[in-house]
Amino acid sequence: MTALLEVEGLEVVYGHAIRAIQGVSFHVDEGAIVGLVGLNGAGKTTTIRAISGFLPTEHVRITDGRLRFAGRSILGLRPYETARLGIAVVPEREKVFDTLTVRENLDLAVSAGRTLRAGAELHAKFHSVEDVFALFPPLAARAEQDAVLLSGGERQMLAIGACLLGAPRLLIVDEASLGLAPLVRRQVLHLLLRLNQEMGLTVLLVDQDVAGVLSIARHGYVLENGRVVFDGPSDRLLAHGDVQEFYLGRGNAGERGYRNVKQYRRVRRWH
Amino acid sequence: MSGVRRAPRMPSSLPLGTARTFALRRGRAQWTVCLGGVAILLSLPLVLSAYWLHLANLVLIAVVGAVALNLLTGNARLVSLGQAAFLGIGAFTAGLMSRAAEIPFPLVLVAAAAAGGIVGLIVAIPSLKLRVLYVAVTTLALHFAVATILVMIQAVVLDSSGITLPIPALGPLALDSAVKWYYALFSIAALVVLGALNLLRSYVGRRWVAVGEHDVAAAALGVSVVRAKLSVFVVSSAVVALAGALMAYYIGTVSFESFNLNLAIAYLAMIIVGGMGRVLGSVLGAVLITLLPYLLDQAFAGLGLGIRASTLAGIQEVMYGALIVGFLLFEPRGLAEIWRHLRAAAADWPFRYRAVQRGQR
Repeated sequence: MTALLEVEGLEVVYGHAIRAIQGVSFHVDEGAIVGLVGLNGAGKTTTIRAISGFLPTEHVRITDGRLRFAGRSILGLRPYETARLGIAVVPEREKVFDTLTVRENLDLAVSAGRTLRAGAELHAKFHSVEDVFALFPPLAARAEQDAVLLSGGERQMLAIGACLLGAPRLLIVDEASLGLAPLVRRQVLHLLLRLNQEMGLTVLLVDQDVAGVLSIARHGYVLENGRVVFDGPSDRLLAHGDVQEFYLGRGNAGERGYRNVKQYRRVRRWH
Repeated sequence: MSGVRRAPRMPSSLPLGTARTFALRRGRAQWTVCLGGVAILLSLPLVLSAYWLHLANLVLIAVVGAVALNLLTGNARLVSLGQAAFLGIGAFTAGLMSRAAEIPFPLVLVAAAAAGGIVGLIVAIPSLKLRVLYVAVTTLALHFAVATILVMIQAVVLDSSGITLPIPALGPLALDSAVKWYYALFSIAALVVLGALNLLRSYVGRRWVAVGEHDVAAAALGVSVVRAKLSVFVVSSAVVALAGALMAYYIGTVSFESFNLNLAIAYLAMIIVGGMGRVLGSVLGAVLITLLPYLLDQAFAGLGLGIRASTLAGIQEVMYGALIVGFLLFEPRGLAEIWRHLRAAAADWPFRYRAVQRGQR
């Protein structure tokens, strides 16, 4: 199995002062679901922004590392160029266009996808807006409404649907679970698993919900302070004592406050 | 597609309001209203006095300029203070060209639009990485740069006097009366309005809206933010310059004083009062803001208060400001939204609201 996305020694600096990403390396195999998990501020979103071309900006620079997608370097490409190579990002927030209707949101994605198809060799399973409606019946019912009227879960569906229309080879989902009820979150994860199994869509899940992500991901990476601190197959990670204790909230140490956890972790790491 | 669930139908036993009964939303009734409106507008010259016909012509020119500005500021959310500059570029291009040689009127219009488009492209480049208010600053810089250049042209090339333009002709038809001008301007404004409506429904316009709303999300879908911003700047500036050229020909003279910052702000007022991002809004706003001073004049003359002209000008400025503040406070989406409410109310009558909510634009 070949690696579709390879990140090697990535280092990102904010405002010449903070090294937000300090040498992160991981890879996503073709056809796999991979989880990238960690707490707030661990560097998850920064990593994705580096991959999808939203970095560098005025204040944020990539100072080191290699980014390869499907065998070619994607360092320095702009967002729409990485999108044309087949990297689709479902953004954390601000994911749909409020003043356009649901159908117009998807039409926009189709028209953007048309230029995508011209650029890259693609295996598109989603050709038309109707394919997305078949996948997400709730969206079909609201096709002509302005997207501002959608609920949180429907916005997530619309954002994923729009990305699928771009014929992605790699779907990166940033915080699929953000602000969603546990039931809806499970539905979204289940849907991603289905897309993966039925169409072989490669998925990189970036989330704080460690249990949820590792339940469908084959392989997981745990980010902490801009470093990968654990990685391995999901079942091994889930069984790991530290992961259980710090990310799943169970284990030997019992209930702890956040401050205590931090202190404990520091002690464990440096002494 | 199989497996697609249809939107829930409204049960047919429910009373439906006048919308269904008279088909006010779509279909034949809408066409009737549309054609009726066009017929009324076309027959206006038969009814209006020369004075009001002149005002109608000014409104039509303002419609062209406001529709174009609304694409840039309302849809792509790039606030432009360079409206007067682009109008000036169009007007001076037309003036200088007609002074230099006898060039056919349509050709001059095209050249003016091209000049506006080129300058728009140049201004767009520093605006690429900027948003909302910062774009306002770059376009403000453009305004002062163009104002200075126009003053210099007028001082050096033209011996400080303005340019007088000849009476233009569309083929064999000379535009020598207000009525002829009205029909010419009406067709151009109608083309611009229809063009804008269609553009906003096309993938080009959708990309402008997307980039205006969330440029990050748009880029993640594969939309080139750079190209979208460049294209909206070029299209908008070209049409604004076209409006400037029309203004020059219609008034008959060009001079730099007309293209001051107040003009740019008046155009912003049009789209704010009319409705940001709505073509109908640009039209309604252009009508209201253009006619407002004249209507106030008439109102005060009718009251017979004997207010001096200089005081009246001050009152007009205050009314302008009050109108904009009032709209921002009470109906930020402008006249177009009020129109939509009225239409919805008429369509639902005698009920207060519809049983099932449906999207409408």
